[in-house]
Amino acid sequence: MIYESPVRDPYVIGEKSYHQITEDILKPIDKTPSKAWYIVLYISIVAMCIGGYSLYKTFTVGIGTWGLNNSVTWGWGIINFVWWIGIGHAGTAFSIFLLVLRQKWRTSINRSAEAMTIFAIICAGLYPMAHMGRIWLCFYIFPYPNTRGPLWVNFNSPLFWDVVAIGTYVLASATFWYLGMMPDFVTIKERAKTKLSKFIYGTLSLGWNASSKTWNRYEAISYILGGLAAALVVSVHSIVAMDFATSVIPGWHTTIFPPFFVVGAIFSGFSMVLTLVIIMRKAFNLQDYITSSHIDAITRILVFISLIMGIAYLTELFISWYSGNGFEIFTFYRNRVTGTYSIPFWLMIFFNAVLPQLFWSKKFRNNLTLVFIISLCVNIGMWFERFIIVVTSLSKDYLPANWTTYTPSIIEVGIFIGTLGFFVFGLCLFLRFLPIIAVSEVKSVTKRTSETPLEH
Amino acid sequence: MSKSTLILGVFKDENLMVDAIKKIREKSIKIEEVFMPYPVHNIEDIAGLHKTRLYGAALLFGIFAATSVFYFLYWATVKSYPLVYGGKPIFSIPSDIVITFVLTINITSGLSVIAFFIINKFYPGKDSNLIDPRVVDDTFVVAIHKPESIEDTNLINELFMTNGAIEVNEKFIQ
Repeated sequence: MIYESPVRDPYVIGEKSYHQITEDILKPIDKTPSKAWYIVLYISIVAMCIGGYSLYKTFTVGIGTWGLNNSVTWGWGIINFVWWIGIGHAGTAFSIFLLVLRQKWRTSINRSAEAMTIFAIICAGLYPMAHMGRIWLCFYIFPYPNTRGPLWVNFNSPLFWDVVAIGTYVLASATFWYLGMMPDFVTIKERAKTKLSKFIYGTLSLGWNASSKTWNRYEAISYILGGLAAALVVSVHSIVAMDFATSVIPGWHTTIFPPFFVVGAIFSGFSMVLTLVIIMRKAFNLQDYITSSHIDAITRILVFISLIMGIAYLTELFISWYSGNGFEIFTFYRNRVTGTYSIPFWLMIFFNAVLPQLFWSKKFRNNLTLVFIISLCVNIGMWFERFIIVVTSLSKDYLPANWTTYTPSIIEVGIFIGTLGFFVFGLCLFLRFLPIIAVSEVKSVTKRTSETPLEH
Repeated sequence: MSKSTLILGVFKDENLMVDAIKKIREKSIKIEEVFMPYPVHNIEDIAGLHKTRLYGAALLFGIFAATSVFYFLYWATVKSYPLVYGGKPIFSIPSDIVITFVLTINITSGLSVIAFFIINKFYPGKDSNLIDPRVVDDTFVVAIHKPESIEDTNLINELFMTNGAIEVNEKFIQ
């Protein structure tokens, strides 16, 4: 009998053959979707229409339709941009960090986390373009020989780094996601019943032949992309943080921002994965593949990251006091801990640093309803974090004459609803038409980690 | 694979296939290719198959990308259009590090993926020509060139059958 680790639970529950794994995971592609799937899809389409109309107003009328003013020049646009980018770190955190660290438990979850990444990054990318006002001139941001000299973009600006980093991140994540699905596309093609399905999945598989040579190259490219993207994910959110940190606004001009943002992004990414996989395993009956042990592993990571977040919040407060800088002290103690925005601040602390501490207890980690609620709370808490950073610092800066408050307009809310709709719409299509769990990867870990005993 | 007839040993279990490959190689018989539903660990060494040089290529792409990006930044900011931003130096290595790093990743990952597609000859609509449709589901296939002598062919068939193959087939490859 093969040695079974007493620490790790099996990755796949039950004695499953390879064929059964294929059937179980690819079943949703054959079946007509449930009524709930259609309801969610229609709601997401309605949300996208709201978002589409809001974008139409933004592009035709201008940024004046947003609730921004001369002091709070960045509102929901940047808040939601950073929030979506954070969620977009889920795929990298799961797929790539855990791949590079050879954590095999990633295999049941990585595909859906990667899908989330793609849709979240698209949502994020929309905001800076919308915020430009004249979206038809957004190509100005790219360095290209032009008639203005040629006048190049400022290569030393974090805003330009952002464009390149996010562009690279989208390309690398999408490629990684697609390459990962190639072996599964052939499997779907082989069991497809209609000519159209065979044609579509056959075309997508690009001629995958399952030979060891192909697998060898496939593993190599996975590690190459993984290694590069792991470095990239750290730089993407560090650069997003530098958008703030290189300014002179109190509350932003701090060296803690890059690591703080990266950790925060991974935190929100993991919690969004948790939200999604809890729904997914229930809706598609995948409890044998996304086991309670997987959920348990994610919640343990959340406790750890939550502690780092808590330390980061305390460090910010301590350093603002220790610096003796009146503006910093005012921002943190009079405009965050107390003041107009104290409720979002304390909600942020509670949701991000306090609530996940419940996961220290196994009883709470095993309660899926509670885990689901806490994962949603963390997502909300992380949104508040970005709100606090952006709005409090801008609303009351150095000149009291400029002090103001900020309320988003209906158009800004509409765009956010639209991006939420797009995210859910993309996930609905993914869950219906693509292999939601990496079939070949699960097979590769089954023998050594399932309940099936192996004879040597 | 060149034009020839292959003897295919079909297995349902990874361990049986690996053991069979070891036994076959002990007899100095060359394994042409192995087909698998998932990548079996270290199979290239076990079966004596070609290992990819993609890692080396990626390193070269990285060196090329970093050098080109750095030179481009120097050329754009010093030669092409020297512009002073807020009194800062025109050419400053520290402030070029981040953008060089990100663009290096961009170009290296792009070139590596293109290389991956080219060496595998992948393109949309290409027929998979699976050696056996079951290899993408639950089956492992070990392919060996069919020798000219009947004795050698029988030996391969016997090695497959006595080492856990569920069937042995022959297939002509174009």
